[in-house]
Amino acid sequence: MSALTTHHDPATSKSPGHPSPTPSSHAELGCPVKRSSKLTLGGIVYIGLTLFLAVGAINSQNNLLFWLFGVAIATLLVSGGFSGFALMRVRLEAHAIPDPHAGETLRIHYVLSNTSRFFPVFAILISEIQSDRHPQGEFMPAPILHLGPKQHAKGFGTLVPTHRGRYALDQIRLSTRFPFGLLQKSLIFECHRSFLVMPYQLPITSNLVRPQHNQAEESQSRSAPSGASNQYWGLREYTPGDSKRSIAWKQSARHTKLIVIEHAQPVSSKLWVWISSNCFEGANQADHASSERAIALCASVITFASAKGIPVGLWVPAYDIRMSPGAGKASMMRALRALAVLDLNDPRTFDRTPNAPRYDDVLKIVPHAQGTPSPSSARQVDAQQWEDWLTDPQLLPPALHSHREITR
Amino acid sequence: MKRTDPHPHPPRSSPPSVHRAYTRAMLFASISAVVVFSIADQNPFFLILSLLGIINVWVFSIAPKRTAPRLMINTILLGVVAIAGIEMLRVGVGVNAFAVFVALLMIVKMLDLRTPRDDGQVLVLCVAILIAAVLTSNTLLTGFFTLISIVLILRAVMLYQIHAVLAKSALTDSTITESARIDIRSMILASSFLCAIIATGIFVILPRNIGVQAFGQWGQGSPVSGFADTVELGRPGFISQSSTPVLDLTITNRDGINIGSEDSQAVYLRGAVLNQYSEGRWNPSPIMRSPLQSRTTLIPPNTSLEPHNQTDYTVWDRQYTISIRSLDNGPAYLFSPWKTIEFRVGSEPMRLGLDFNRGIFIKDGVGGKLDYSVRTVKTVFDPINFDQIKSRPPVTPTPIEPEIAQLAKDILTDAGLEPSPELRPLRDDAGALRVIEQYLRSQYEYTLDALPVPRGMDATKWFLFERKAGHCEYYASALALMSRSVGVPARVLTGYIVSDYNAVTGQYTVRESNAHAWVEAQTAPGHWQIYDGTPPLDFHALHEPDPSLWRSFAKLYESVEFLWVRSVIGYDSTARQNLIGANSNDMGLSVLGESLLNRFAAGRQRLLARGAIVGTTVFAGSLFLGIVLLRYKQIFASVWSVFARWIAKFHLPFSSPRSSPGDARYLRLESLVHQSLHRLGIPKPAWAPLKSHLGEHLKDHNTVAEPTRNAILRASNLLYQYKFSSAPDPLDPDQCSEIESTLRKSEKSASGVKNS
Repeated sequence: MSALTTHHDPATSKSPGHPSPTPSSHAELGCPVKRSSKLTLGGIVYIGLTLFLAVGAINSQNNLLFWLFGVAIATLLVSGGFSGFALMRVRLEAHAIPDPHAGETLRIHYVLSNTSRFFPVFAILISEIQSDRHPQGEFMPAPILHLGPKQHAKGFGTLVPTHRGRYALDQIRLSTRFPFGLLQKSLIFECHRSFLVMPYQLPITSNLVRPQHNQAEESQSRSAPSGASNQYWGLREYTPGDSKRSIAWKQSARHTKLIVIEHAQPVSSKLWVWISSNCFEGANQADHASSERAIALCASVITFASAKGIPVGLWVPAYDIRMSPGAGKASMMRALRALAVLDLNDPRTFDRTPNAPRYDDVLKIVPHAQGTPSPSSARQVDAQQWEDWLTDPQLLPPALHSHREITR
Repeated sequence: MKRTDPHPHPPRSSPPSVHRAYTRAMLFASISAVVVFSIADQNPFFLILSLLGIINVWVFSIAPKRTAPRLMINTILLGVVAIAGIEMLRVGVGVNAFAVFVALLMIVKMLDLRTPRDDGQVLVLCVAILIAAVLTSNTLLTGFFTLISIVLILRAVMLYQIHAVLAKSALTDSTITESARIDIRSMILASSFLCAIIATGIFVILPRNIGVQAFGQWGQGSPVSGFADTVELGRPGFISQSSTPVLDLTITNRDGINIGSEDSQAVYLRGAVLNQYSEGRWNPSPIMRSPLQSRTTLIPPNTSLEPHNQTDYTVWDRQYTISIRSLDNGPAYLFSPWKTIEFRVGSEPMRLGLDFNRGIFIKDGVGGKLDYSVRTVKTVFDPINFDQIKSRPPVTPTPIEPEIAQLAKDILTDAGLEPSPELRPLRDDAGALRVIEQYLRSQYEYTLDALPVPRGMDATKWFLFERKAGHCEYYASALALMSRSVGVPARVLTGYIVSDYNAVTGQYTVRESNAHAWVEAQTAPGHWQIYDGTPPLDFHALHEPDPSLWRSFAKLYESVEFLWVRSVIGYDSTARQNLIGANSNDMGLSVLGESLLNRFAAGRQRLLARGAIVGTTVFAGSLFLGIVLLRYKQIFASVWSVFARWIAKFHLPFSSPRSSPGDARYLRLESLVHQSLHRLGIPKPAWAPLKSHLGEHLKDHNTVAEPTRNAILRASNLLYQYKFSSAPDPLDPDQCSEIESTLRKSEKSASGVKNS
């Protein structure tokens, strides 16, 4: 439950990649472009009832019916007047929309101000008007239940986008049916906000990201002298420049020459995630579900590996995307944004292996298991067999199911 | 953990949620609609059942946010539809049956509130019940409670909009802050006020008498009369004890002065003339009624009608202005005294059939409220020269039981009058009828209990010789039959007897219970005189209101209701014309203003007098009530606390929170300690902590007995533990009772010592 006048949403500020919106820097003021009013279904029924009363009153000359008819007309007039007054002096600010992931609930924040000196505002619904650039998904409007004179209130609507991509919201509708629900008065504001919907983040199995990519593991290669690890690697003769602390005095005494202890140095392997161009074959058809699955799998692996601290790179030759592995949030977001803007209607078909170092891990996402040999270091995962890489097959979102799969 | 203070400040109640506020408003709106219809229909049974249903639904379904299973709802719904169908087949499709059906639907719907649309549907059903109430009755109480119900429904609708908006969003619920509550209240008041102003304006401005009965009888309210144009002995007939007003009567003399008073003689308002008797039943003669109905004429408003052969009476004596509150459509009797020589149509045209000779006036066409006036002459006529009268007026042949005829003869013989009409002088007929009238009044008992007449026996004979008790119809029948048996033409009249005068309004109020039957006898050719065999004291005791304080308040209420009937129910095209002018470019505002000013100037005196009476009465009543409340406030407070505790048992939302047993023990113990200290002469000041006060004063007090001292010290320890200890209930009941008994014993012994 939340109070009516103030609202703070800590969830948005805490989630990674979702900067908390600040009204002063990211809010956009909407300009009203259109006022409209329409009769609701209740209003139509009400008018029918009023006519009914009028006929009864005229027919019977029953003065109480005349009076009831007067009350009915008065209620209609008052309803129109009050709801119109309510929207006369309101001011709307819409916050910038943080980039969500597909399937995640996105909160769109608004601030509504009532500049009227006497007139309060009740039961306002703030909703986004659908357009071609509007993302698909369920949108719940933002309610503002009460706004007193000279007050402002915050509200949020929610959107669950079902597809990745770049979208924009251009128009906001402010509507109210207060006080009697007979007329719906609306104000439409122009307010352009664009955002990027990242690919789905799916709960993948941990075996997709190999255990030796853990930072606690160490490689078998020789290290530079300044090994950070304290694990014993071997002994060698002292060379000028070695640290005096690494001299093994006992061994040196035994061998009558200076011996230093060499420690093992951890070498973190990097992960390359490679989306095979075959995943985009046939992508110009209506059903992009298989391609989207591959993209979602790729994004999920990138996110999972980044959370583990493993530097992850992205390789999508079909779209000429090559990002070297990098650790950290910025690198991850760069990769995710690159995946978010992939246009499935415009793929290139050639494929080639990433030029990855020998000891880097390469995970190749393929549309189906192939018998053709891959470079020895590339592991394959079949994007279509989601039962193998999802922790729970039921968790695959409906948008990633093809129509054939759904009907099957 | 610190123990909470058992004497906390009254906790600030948490703000209600939107859902709770709306459901409460919906509850009040539905209750108000049901109450209005019950008042309009005068049906307490409906009110009780509906309230029980609504309260049950609230307690078991709405308050705990629980919807009933679909199967249960559908079953109940089927039952409701079946009951409604049977009822409508039995009594026909009427407003009452419709309202009962809608009320039951509303209660069933309240069991099935799953979406905001369901909530809205409940409010629509409330409005339907309200409309049914208005169609049923137009009394002042109905109008007043309709106003209240409309405000409650508007409030519920406003809260519903907020509730519906919440349901469309991602929020599950929200609270209503104090500022929101204040703003909502202001909006409700403002919108109610505006709606009232606009509605009144529309009511005043809308033209009347256009399109009357274009759609049949839709919208016509139920007429109220209590009057019947036949008498069927053995059945209750039109006997009614209802005090529902039927018509209002003003009596003025030739100078226009109101001559009504509470002490004036009763007035008989004639309705139907019943001339034919057969097997205990009196009916109007066919030639009396149906030809009139077929010969009705539309008379323009404010037209005066007189009989064609008016030669005898040229000077009228009294004018009776009659306002019938609600008459049925179609043919109906109009009421007037005997003998009417002029009929004046009111401000609306009327379709009338008039028979001045027999004094029968019938209207046809539109019903509803009717105004008209009649002028009469005195029925006590100048002395007649009986010597010039050659023959008696003929008597309608009537099958009269021989015993009844013999009784009549015996009565006249005992009175020294000649029973045979051939031998008796005509001038003695009036006296003969008086003797019979007096006999019936003295020898028989008045009762409203209607017993079935034995099969095969004449009802009048049964009344005269066996039961010897009955209502006015029996008396009238007996008098008429006996009169005819002794050769005096007589007829039975049904109508109203008028005696209830209201000094505030200057009018007589005629009610259903004033319906009456009496006799007119022709004691000279062309001269009919009223005879009433009903014992007057018994009749008035049963039908007249008693002169008590309650009756005075009731009369005050009737004055207000009279104003309501005059200004609202009786508002017609003439009133509209007077108020806003016939053709006015400014919608009659200037005429309205001028008219109001003129009215005020002309009626200032009367207005002031009326205002003074009403104001004084209200002030005196409020003063009296205030004095009683102040004087006996303890009684009212205790009654209220009992009621609140009873309500709290049912976990209703407005129940007061319960206190724990520990709190009660604490309070008791603390009170005892303070009383003991006070008794010992060392009362604790409010600012001093108990322990330090005891340490300072109790130790040095040598006269305190050891058990008492120990008890007080132990009590103080327990009180401190209760307040500051984290234990769940440190006040051990056994210890507490032991300490209490010790302190009480010492108190008793101290008072015993004091008394001795």
